[in-house]
Amino acid sequence: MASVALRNVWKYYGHVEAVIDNSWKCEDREFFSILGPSGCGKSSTLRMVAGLEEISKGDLFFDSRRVNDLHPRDRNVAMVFENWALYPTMNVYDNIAHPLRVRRIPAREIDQKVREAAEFLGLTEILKHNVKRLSGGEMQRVSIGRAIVRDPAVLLMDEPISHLDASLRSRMRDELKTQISKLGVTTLYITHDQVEAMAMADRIAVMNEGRVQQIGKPLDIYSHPRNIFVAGFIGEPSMNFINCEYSSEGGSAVLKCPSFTIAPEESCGKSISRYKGGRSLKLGVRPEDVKVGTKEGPGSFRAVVDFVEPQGDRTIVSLRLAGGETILAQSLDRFRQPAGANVQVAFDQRHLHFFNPETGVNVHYA
Amino acid sequence: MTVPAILILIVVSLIPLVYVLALSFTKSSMTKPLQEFVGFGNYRAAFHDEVLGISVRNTLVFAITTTVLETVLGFILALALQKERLLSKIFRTLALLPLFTPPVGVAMIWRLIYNPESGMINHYLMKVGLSRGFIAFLGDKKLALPSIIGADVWQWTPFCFLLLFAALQSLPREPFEAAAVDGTTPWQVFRKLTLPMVAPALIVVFLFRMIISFKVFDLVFMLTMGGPGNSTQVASFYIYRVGFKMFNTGYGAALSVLILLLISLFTTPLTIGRDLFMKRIGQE
Amino acid sequence: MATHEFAVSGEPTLAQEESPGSEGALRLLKRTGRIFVIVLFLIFILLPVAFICTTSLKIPLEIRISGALLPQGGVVWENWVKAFSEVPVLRYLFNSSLIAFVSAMLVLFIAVPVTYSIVRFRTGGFLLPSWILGTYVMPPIVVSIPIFTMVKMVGLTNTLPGLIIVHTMLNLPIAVWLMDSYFRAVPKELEFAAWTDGYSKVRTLVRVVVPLIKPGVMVAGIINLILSWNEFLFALILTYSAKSNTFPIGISNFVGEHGLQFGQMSAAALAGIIPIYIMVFFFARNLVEGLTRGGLRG
Repeated sequence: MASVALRNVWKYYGHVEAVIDNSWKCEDREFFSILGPSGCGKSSTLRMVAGLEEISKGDLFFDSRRVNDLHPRDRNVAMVFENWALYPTMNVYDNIAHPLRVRRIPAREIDQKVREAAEFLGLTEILKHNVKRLSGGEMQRVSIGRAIVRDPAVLLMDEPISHLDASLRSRMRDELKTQISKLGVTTLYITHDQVEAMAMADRIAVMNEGRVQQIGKPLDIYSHPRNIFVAGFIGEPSMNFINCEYSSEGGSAVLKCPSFTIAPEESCGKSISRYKGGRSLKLGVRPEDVKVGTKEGPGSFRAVVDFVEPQGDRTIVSLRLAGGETILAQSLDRFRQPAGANVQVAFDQRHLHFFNPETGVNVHYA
Repeated sequence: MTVPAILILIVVSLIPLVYVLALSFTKSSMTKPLQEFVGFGNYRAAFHDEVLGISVRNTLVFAITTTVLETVLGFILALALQKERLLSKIFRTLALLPLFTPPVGVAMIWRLIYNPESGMINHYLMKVGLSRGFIAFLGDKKLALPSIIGADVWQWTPFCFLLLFAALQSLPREPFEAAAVDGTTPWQVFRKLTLPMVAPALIVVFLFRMIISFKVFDLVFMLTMGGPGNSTQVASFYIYRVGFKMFNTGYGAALSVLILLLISLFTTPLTIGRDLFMKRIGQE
Repeated sequence: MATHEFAVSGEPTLAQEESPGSEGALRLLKRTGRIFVIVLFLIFILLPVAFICTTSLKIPLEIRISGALLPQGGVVWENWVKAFSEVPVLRYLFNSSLIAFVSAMLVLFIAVPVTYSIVRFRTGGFLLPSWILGTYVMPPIVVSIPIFTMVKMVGLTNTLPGLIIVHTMLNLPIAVWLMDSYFRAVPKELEFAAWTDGYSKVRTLVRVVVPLIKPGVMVAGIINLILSWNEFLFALILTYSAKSNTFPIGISNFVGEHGLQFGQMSAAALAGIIPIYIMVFFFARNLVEGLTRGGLRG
């Protein structure tokens, strides 16, 4: 096992900066996820860890050893590729046995390890099948089998389940997590699906446009996003953002938004008062913290129901505010108001976020 | 609209075959076709025809040697150029030149090169000191066929290269990356990954080239006319001589039929074998 | 990008500028070896061509005694002049061009609808593709006698039209084979859309499909042109005078009639080779694509 650490790592493709000054450390045996939209640099990062890409600048450490110049085969990493990258002319057994065979391990030992891995992954029945005949889920498991049969120091996974259909994907997510925790191997998991990352990882590094935006435990990132990008990327449906103006006149603070005015309560008042950036702010509130009702209440304001999306266990309501903006609310009760109805909206002020409109940084951390 | 056109085409191509078949059973000459019915007489004569045997053997030697050489050399080249972006672009264009050179051009070029007194090979061999006399490449019984093979290799290796290069380029990249991470040495990669994946293309190219090489005629006509002796007599050329130089069209027709049968006998199992192989690796 | 050149040798193109000691040296050695092989081949391919070019420019005396590559006794143009004046090279070139061009056009004209029917409507089912396959296994010599007889019967021996027709028939299967993969690449939906819009099948073919397979048609046309230009056997059999001799035959007759004048022969041969080479250069990309698409389908 080993820990993986990046220190000021950059990656250039010609003039294009794909990875910009990344630094993070994945601890030994940790399930560390790198999450971000397409093109954010996460794949490049993983490939640099594997040794498939050159590191343009900076250092890569396995434990305390600098491995920038090590050939992939000397790094003792195993990789599960996005398209599984199985050896097309071989069957399942040979695919899994391959990493052992190239190390000239005796055949009997290989057989034992391969069968162990196959049983672990439920592949024993299809060991003799050529990989071209397998289904997506089977191919993925073979890919994992090939990766774990070597007892690698680090397991690298590049969006391994993004090519499966939705129902299979959620099942495989749970299976993967179970298998990997049983193995206890250091794992770097790349994905663009935040649900995956949130469900599986011990810690997540959120990336965008080559930079690391935030690193932390899933719930921390969810509840305390550092900037607008992270706030909007994590959580589904995503956070609502509303422009507003902050003013404190004579001791009482007021938040003026185009469609409503509210008085910030004690809890958020503290972070705003520290804010030095001027008067405009971006207010962020998650749909589940938007309360919709028919009766007026403290801090509530008017809105019209745009459309309703019942999703079984919850209902998403799209609300049109007086000023024309739309926000989403999530209700766990059966929401009965039809489109066009007038309702009263209030925010759960314990979970409001405020962002600097120019830098996008969460005011709380400024 | 096209159906009648196709029908006509097929009929038109069948007529010659039927005619040849009919002709083979007669004793005819160019100006007086279909004279005398002699049954299998021509065929029996063919059995005793020494020159026929020699020409068949020469054709086989030629076909197998050129095909093997060209496929292997083309493959080596294709492998070597895999990583060279610029060079491979240049090469792919230049490779077309020998392939499309008019046979007359090819023959002319190699006549010049093989010439005993003023040929390029002799000139430089003597300069380097490797030979003392004038080697008559095309005039020596032992060297004539290899010389023609040499000219053919020049012309067709680039073709094998082009096809095999494209095949190698089209291989998926990821399994090779996985192999690197898995610790596979380059030689192991070649043996266990590259070769099996490119095997279908290799077989296709091999077969394709072999079938074409059975038809060799132009080079022989222009370089050696089948000589010296019968050392470069090949099937097509012999039939030409019989039919158009000796005007024995009946016998020529019989020989044509025989050669056609022989070639089919040789290539059909190969083709079937190839199809079976493709199926096996596609489904196994 | 570095990743996409991760070629089939399993070696990532890591740090080629800054690799650690011995690994870097080994890589350099391998690369040198590769380049050596490539250059060797390059020389092998180009040297013969260079030789005939320089031969055509040498003085005749030098040609008879020396086989050096570069002209030692000076560069002269007399070979070229003599070749064109003593032998009807231009006539041969003209014949070849005409035959090649017309037969290529005819072939395309017939092959396009035929290929389309085969691909789209499975005309001829199993037989037709087999026939096409069969024609390329068969050595042309086999049908030479009957074709000679047939052409003689209609009185077209030693004429240009005779050879045009023969070439057209010979090259038709090749054109079909070449264009096959291009036709298959056209999505059926486009044609269905055209039919539902009221186009007839012919019109669909001409207006919708053909524009999409222009590269394929071009390749087939060019290759047919070259094949006809290079064709030897039937030109040999069916023509016997300058009036209709094609270029290959004309040149090979050269040997017999005018003695061994290598210099002139080189010049004459080059006169027919160079136009082809120019065409090849122009259409190189197309040709490569067409050949590999057809060839790899087997």
